[in-house]
Amino acid sequence: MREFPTLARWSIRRRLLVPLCALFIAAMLVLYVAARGYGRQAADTSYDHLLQASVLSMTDSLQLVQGTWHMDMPYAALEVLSLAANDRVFYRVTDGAGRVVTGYPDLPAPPRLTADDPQPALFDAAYSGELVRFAVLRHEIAGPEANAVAIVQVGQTRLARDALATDIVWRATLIIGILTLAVLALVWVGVHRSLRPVARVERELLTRQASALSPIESPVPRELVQLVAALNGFMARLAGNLDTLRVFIADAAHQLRTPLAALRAQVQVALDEDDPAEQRRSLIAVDRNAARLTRLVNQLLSDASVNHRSSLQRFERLDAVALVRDALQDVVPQADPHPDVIWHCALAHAPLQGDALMLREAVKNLIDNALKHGSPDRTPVVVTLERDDESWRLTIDDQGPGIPPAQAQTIFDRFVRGAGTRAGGAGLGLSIVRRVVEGHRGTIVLSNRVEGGLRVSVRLPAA
Amino acid sequence: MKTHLIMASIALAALCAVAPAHALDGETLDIGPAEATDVLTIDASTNTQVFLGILRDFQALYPGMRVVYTELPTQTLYDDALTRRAVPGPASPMAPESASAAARSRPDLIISSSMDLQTKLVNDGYAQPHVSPETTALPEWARWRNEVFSIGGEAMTFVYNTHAMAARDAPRSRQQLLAMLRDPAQPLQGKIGTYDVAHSGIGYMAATQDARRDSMAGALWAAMGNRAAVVDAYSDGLLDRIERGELTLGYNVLESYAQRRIAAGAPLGIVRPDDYTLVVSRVALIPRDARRPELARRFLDYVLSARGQETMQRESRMLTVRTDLDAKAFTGAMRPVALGTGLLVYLDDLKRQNFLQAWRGAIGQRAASAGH
Repeated sequence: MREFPTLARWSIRRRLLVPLCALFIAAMLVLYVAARGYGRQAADTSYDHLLQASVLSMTDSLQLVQGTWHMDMPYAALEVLSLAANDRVFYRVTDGAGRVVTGYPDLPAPPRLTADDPQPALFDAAYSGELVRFAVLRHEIAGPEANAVAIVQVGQTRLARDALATDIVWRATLIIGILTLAVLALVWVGVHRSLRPVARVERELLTRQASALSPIESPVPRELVQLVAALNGFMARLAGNLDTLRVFIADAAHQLRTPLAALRAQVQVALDEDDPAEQRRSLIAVDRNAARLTRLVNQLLSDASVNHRSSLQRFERLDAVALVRDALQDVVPQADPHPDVIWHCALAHAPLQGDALMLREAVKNLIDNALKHGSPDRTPVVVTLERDDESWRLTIDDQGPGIPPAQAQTIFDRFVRGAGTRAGGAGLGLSIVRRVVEGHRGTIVLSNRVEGGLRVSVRLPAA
Repeated sequence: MKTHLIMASIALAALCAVAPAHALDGETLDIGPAEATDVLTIDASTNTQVFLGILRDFQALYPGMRVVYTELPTQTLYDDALTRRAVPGPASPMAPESASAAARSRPDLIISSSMDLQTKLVNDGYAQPHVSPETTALPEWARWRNEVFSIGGEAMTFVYNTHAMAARDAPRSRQQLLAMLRDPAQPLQGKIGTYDVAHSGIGYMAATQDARRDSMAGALWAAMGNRAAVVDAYSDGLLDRIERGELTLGYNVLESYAQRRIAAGAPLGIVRPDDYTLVVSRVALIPRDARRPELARRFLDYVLSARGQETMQRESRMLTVRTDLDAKAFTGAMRPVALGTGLLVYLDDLKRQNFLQAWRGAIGQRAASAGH
């Protein structure tokens, strides 16, 4: 079992909620900071207007009488500031030389005064134990001798501003908070709803019979169609394999029953026989049948093995020349009577991609068939390997009876034996060969030669 | 001034017999056990005799507490507060006259009829806040910053001598008063009196509020000047003259003072003007440097409570400021002067100079300044 990182096991809900939470918390922080800046600015703007109005109305009431400033302060100058109900107010009027005309003499000085600004300048400074917002205006009028200057400064503590700013921030934060919670709740519900089809598929799979391999029918969202299609495809292949297996087991059992029955009958005959000669003849028959059975079982195993290997598709680079030579070595008996096999091959190497074991088995089967059925009087069997375009062609010619045209196709099916063949074949050989050849993307053709005899022609793609 | 002092002394001497007072100099009232550790010091501009009933009721509520009550002029109360504080504060709009403040003990509570000076003390950071159910029950105009509180209202009224003027002839509004002053028959020639605005805190505040609210204020002063109005720095001085018949009518006279005299049998009548009746307040604040602020808070909560307000109405004849307890308190033409920064305007040196100049110009040099 592979070790997956912990992240891979996270639930979908968690995968969605964790980044969304992080995103929204980050957004909340950013918005909170922005709201604080904005709140303070908005509060300052509203109350700064009052402060400036106060300065302007004071300035408006200034009069220069014989070189001395006089001010008849309008009631509204300070009353307007009482809109910030609990804030203290301070003011001062000085002349150009810095002499106090009226008001609080010890107010903090403005940072720097611009001469010609029509609007009062604004600044914060500590006074009387509190931070105070000041507005200050430099007022200049032409006097009889020189220009006279008055500086009007009005300040107000920040209680109302701070309260308004805090209020703005809290309202904004509250809205952001509610929004965040709503979004997270929606995500939670949304995830739950989107995962419902998965649960439905799960329930359908859990409740169905073990043998039921029909496609999943629950409707699923588009994102899951691929997954369900893959699952359905997998189940279809599984069902196919199971069918093949079932048919094979039934066929195999059927095939094994006949020789076993014959075997038992002959053993019975041998047991009932008193004459040793007859007994021996029966035992010979038993031996022949046992050999046939062995061959059948071998073929079944070979078939199963080919089946297994063809599904694995473990191909490697092979040399067809060596492969056929090895097969000949294996299949042609070296002892007398020595059958006549003629091996034609002009190639030094014939590379191809394939499974050596399967291919050797197939070639052995073909040569074995030719020797068994196509060489009645030990007439020679001709094996030829040659190049044909992008493939290798292996032909095996014999002098036998050939096959009736009607059987040219069915001969490849399992447990089908050629007409007139002697007992001993299980009818699996050509079926195995064809599976192997087709597994290598090759072709196999059986044809009767004009001069008599059967030609098996196998074509395999060259590497 | 002499009469005033003598009167106070007589009154206090009379009280001495009934009140458990231990030490009494001319203007100080000392109530409660001498050995008490809880000593509440109150400096106030209100007459000791006016406040005695309240102090006694409070003392009955807290028998273990000693209360030292000193009567001082409003300007002295203000100047003392400035002098006590070493921090460089803004210059007093009026010249400080008392340097002996440091010698006196620091008050825990300052009660003054000068709403503007009290407001300025708060504005300049000399007070400390107090928040309680009693203070939050006050209407908006009766408190500012939770540091200064109106504890009782005083209506500014017309007071006339009932022998010299029949009730039905008495003017009901400023318009009627103006008409009477302009009457060619000159019924009020030399017979009208009002506060000396230049020498009375309440008079100045009432006059400035008139100037704000009444477009005819200047005309009224000029008409009074034409009738050779008499000005006095004290309500009692005016009321003495009206009672004696020297004056027929007083303008902007404190209602509670007149009511006490009527209760004592004086031939006086009171008119609350229809157009608007100005209501000024006695206002209290706890100085930042109070020695026993918790006692001051206890006293404030008592005065503002239902019981305290009732005692105040009964004993001092002031108007309650608890509009939540008495919905009819300030209905109709009653115009309470609100605490707040607006009051600071007329404290401005130049503003004051301008205003007094205008007032003097209107009421004229003929106005006889009635000094004591």
